[in-house]
Amino acid sequence: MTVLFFLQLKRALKAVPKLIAGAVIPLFLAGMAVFWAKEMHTKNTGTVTAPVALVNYDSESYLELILPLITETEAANSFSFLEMDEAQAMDALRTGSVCAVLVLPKEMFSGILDSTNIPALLYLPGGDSFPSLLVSKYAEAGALTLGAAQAAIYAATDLYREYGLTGHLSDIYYDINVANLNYAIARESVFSAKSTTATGELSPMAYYGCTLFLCLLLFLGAGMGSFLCTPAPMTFYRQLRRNGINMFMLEASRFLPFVLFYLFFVFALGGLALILFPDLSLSASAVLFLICTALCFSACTQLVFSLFRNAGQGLLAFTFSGLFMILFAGGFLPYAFLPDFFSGLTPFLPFSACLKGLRRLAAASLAPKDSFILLIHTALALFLLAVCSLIRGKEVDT
Amino acid sequence: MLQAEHISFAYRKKQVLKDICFTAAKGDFIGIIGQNGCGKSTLLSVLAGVRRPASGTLSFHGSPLFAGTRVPAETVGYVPQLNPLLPELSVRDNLKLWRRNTVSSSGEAQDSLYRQMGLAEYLGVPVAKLSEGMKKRISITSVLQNAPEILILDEPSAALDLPCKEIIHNQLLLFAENGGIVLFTTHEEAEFSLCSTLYILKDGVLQQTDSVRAKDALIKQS
Repeated sequence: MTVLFFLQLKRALKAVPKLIAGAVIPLFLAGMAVFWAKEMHTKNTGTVTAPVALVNYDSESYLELILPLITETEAANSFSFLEMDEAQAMDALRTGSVCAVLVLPKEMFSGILDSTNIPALLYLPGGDSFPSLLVSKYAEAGALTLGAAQAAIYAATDLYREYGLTGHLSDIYYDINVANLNYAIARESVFSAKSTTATGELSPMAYYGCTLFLCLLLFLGAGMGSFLCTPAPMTFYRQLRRNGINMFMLEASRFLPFVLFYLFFVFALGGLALILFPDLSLSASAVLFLICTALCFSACTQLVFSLFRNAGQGLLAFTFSGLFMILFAGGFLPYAFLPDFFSGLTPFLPFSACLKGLRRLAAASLAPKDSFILLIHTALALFLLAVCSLIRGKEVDT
Repeated sequence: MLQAEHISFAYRKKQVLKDICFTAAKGDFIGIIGQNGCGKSTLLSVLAGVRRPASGTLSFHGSPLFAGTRVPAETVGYVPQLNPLLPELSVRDNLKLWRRNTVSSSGEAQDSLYRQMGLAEYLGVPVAKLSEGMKKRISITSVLQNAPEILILDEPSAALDLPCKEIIHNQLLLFAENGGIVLFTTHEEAEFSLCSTLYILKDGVLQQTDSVRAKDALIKQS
């Protein structure tokens, strides 16, 4: 039995390079799916862009110079200016494809410089859509600020002239401008970029990291099919029987190296996660949970391959059942997108329970119950494995 | 002396072996022939202790051959038709798998056996990379290394090339010359003449024949 155990260990080690190579492609595909899903489920609610039609009658070239400066400023970040003629702009306003039309009159920019101050015209749709309200509020606030600043400048000019302080006018203009600009509230104190995600308390990265972890364990197990389904004829088992080794002992000799194999990978991946995410910590309960994960995966994988007895069929059954269990646990699409009964099934499906526990581990809310559920699944799988080997042993005997 | 008395065996309702009786002494080289599916492999598996007979007894030197669950490898060695080998493991590992701890032959004797069977150069090679002939030699060696007194082989030379057959024949004859009992099944006419005793299995009944009459008996049987 000792010889058989060490030879099984040797077989398991020989299978490792092949299965790692075999796991790379499905893992890559799983990784792609996971990150695609991450993008799909995350919505950034902080950015609203309001399209504004710009009709320019000013033949002078200031616009080309000034417009990029305006659009790049923080205050105008929410607008995108689209240059078009007036008829097109009005059509666009009617159809709602722009939320405002800004008409810049002839010689407006030179008027600013020579104090003629020809006003620009702003057409608003008058509706109550968010971009439309935003533009009208912006325009209203801008006009009030500008009006207040202008009134202050006129008053200060008159006052300084009366007291013969015209030489200090530039100082007061500066102060008034600064004071009026300070009335504007910093955008970030009102509008803060906020992400909402269906992945709950975990970040999408951590959430799908757990899924990837489980997928990797699944693919590694699937790759061990050739180890678990010994490609040997019935005479092999009969010879073992002659040597006093029954099917139960044979399964046990496979199970022990298989557990070591899973323990190695579970802790190697756990170690990698600790390096990549320094916030994670490996507590005693986390170690216990990882050991239970390795045991559960070993027992369930061996049970599926033992039931099918054929590496190809076992691989298909194991991979598909595993992927379904991950799906049921919200591994690909979070529960928010799935029927309610899926979450109720989680404790009854070993890999689903494993994934749920893994998420709790990542969220530092692991409970002893998570490890206990996995132990129950392990015990059940081992019991069924023992029944299978008993039935198989009877076949060998006849 | 090996003694089989009134051995019967049935697969459910189909009676395969009926009242089989024979004896074999040290140095005997016994061949069993018969049509495909006549029960030759079943008979060998019963003699090897793989299957329990429905009735009858097997004794060696007057004692029951299979008393416990573990078949005594130092008494009976069995080479089944399909090689019981793990393909991803090396020849050495496969031989180690079937080596009983109870056998105390020296390392020198083992090396000599590996050389005689032409395995010495292949001990580190995975079995999957070897030919069928080599695999058969490994199967036979895995049994011979336990130094049994009775060697049971199920079609040991089927589908092998001539040099490989010769190596196997020489080894089996040497085994018998050294006082062992060889029991094997065959369809090879050339092997009939090697046998000291030849039996034909027909309708579950074992009858003695000789190498001259064997061919005619087989043709008539079909």
